[in-house]
Amino acid sequence: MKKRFAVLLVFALIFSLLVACGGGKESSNSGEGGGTDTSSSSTGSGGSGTGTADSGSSGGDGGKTVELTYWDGTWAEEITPELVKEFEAQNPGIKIKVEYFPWDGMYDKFLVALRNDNGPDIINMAVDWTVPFAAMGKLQNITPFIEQYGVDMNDFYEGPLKTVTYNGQYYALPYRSEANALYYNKKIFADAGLDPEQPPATWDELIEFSKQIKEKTGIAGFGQSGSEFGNFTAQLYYLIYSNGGSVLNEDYTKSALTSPEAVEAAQIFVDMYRKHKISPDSTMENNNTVNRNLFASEKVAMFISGNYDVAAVREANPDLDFGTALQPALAERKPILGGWNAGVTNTAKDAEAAFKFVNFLASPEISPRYSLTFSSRKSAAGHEKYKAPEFQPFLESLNYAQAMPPIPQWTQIKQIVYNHMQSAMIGDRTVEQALQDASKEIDALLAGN
Amino acid sequence: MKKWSLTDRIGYAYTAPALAVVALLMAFPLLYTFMLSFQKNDVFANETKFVGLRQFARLFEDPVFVLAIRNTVVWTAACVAFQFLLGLLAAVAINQEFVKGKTVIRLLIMVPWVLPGIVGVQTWKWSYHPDFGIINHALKSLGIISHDITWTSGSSTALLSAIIVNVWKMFPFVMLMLEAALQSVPKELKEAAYVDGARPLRIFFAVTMPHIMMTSLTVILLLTIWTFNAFTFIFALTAGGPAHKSEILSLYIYRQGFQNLNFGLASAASVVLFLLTMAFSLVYIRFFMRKGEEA
Repeated sequence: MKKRFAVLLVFALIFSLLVACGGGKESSNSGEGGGTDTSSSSTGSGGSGTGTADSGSSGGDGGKTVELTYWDGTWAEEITPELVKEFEAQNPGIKIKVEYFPWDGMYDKFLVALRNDNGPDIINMAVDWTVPFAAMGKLQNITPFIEQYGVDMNDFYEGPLKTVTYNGQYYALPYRSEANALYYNKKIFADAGLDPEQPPATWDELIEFSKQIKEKTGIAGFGQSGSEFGNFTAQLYYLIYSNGGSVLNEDYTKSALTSPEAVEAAQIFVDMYRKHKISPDSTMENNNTVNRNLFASEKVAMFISGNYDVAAVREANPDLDFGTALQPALAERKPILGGWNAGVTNTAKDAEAAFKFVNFLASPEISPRYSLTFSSRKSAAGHEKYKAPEFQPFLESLNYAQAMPPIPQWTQIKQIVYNHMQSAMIGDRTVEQALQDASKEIDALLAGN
Repeated sequence: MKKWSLTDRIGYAYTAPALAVVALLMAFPLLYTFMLSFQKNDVFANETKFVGLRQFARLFEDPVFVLAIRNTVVWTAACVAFQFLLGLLAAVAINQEFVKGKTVIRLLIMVPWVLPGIVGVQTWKWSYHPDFGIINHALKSLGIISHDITWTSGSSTALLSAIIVNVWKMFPFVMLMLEAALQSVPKELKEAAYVDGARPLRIFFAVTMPHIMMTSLTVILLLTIWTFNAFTFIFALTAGGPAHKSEILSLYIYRQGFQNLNFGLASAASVVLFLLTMAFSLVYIRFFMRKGEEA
């Protein structure tokens, strides 16, 4: 009796092991439309999908039908299949097999795959990745196809175009572009004696308004991101660039953070938290998602984010009376450009067919449907998706938006700046000292140490 | 050469699969990490270079690494001390005869340990938050503080807030282990001491402690190794912040390896962590646990 039980137990264990390991495809959840964005806007927003892919088999050589693989993000799982169907209908003889990747770790996977020539035929890339991939020789130069198919490059905003250009040639087409804008709580403005239809136009005004709001209502004026290196540097870099400074020098070999414009901008950023106290006490532990929550629960009067947060804020608090506006200017207004491009890899089986798909995705008709934020096409600015008044400042920002230096060390540079500037935020170092230390590390990194 | 009997051979055949798993999942990664620590290997370089001990030199030149080691020592010492003390207190308390509803109390106390790490940490993280959290709210209502404390982002409180969460999570384990040990203390010895006029505290130190010494020492060793390597608490609660004030070795390794993609440096740091843990364990077992056995 005991022996039979033991045998049964062993079989049960083996069986459960097989089931667990056998696994099979989990049904992938589609990511929310950029809702929980914890990366900076300059690398695009990702969804929180958990899906894994159909294994993209690249068969189909030998004649009529060519099968291409496309690597996409999990947040597009609901829209891409539809678009693929339409493309295949318009282009008999081309079949597209799509693999979806979650945002977390996407860059590393793509980088490693491309390095080993194990990548797909067509690839979706955040704006910062395209030029580094092209510099590695892993993307096709599609300038000849662009000429052949008469793609109107003037219809793309300038910012995104720079992110697909390398050595004067095009290596991808932009389809999605985004820039941040200001959200402000109209009711809190009114309560503090400010005109709810006059959001701050300059950064000085933002600080003044915040002080007034704090005085009259006790509510913090602006949601600063003290934690999460992507959010932190997004806010800091906006100030630096809008003040006429920059993070790196012209040829991306050295840090430019010790210039007076950069130091001044960084000082403004730190002063907002330490001197003027217009951001909440919890700033050092808040990332931009927490800022969104604070804004939705009316604990902060203003915050800066992408248009994907409009829906999230509405959902969190449907009664919230808020407006959107361009980010307040310093010397000028230089929002950071985020977005995505689609390109053809150097290992593509049929470069022309692959280009057709890229061109399809970046077209004025398809890109507004494919993009979770905005289309990179100027001609699509009037699309019905973008009609709502809250979206207008985001659209307008695209005209000023500037892409960040497209070098592979960009993420690490963000971390270096974040690490040193955080100590300035808590008062351990002066802003000058922090930026000098950061610059030393950045210079060493860029020199290849 | 001893001739392998049939029983020997059957024995080895049965353990061979398990040994293979251990070799593959433990020995191989360990050796590979050792190899990596002598190389310059990151995602930008197109080949890996052998650089000897340079990665280790780089580590000790990095003030953040040195700070991380210091923080790790403080973190481990504080966590283990309080986990043990609180667990001991709980075990002794629940062991008293007059306590009713022992099962229910034990169940409730087990909750922190049983809860998945991330879940517990996230709950604490929101409780600590100055704007949304209940801790500051409660403290203010009771009049203990007048101004919100930034628990997880304050220079002086970040590590402390993580220590509190770790103690909360692990003391049930200590209680469980020690309770079993306490049960094994012969009641007659305690009663005899009582009759002889010894006070309860003296009884505890003279009679109870020696009997739970072996278990206690084992528990402390386990806690130390676990806490030394603990990652979830600091990662999810403070992310090593602000400005590295609460950064510990495991987080430093993670940052170098998975954020900076500098595998050579991360491996070197891992080797340091491994050696420190190994050194501690060897010294501890040799000196404390041998003595404990003899006692």
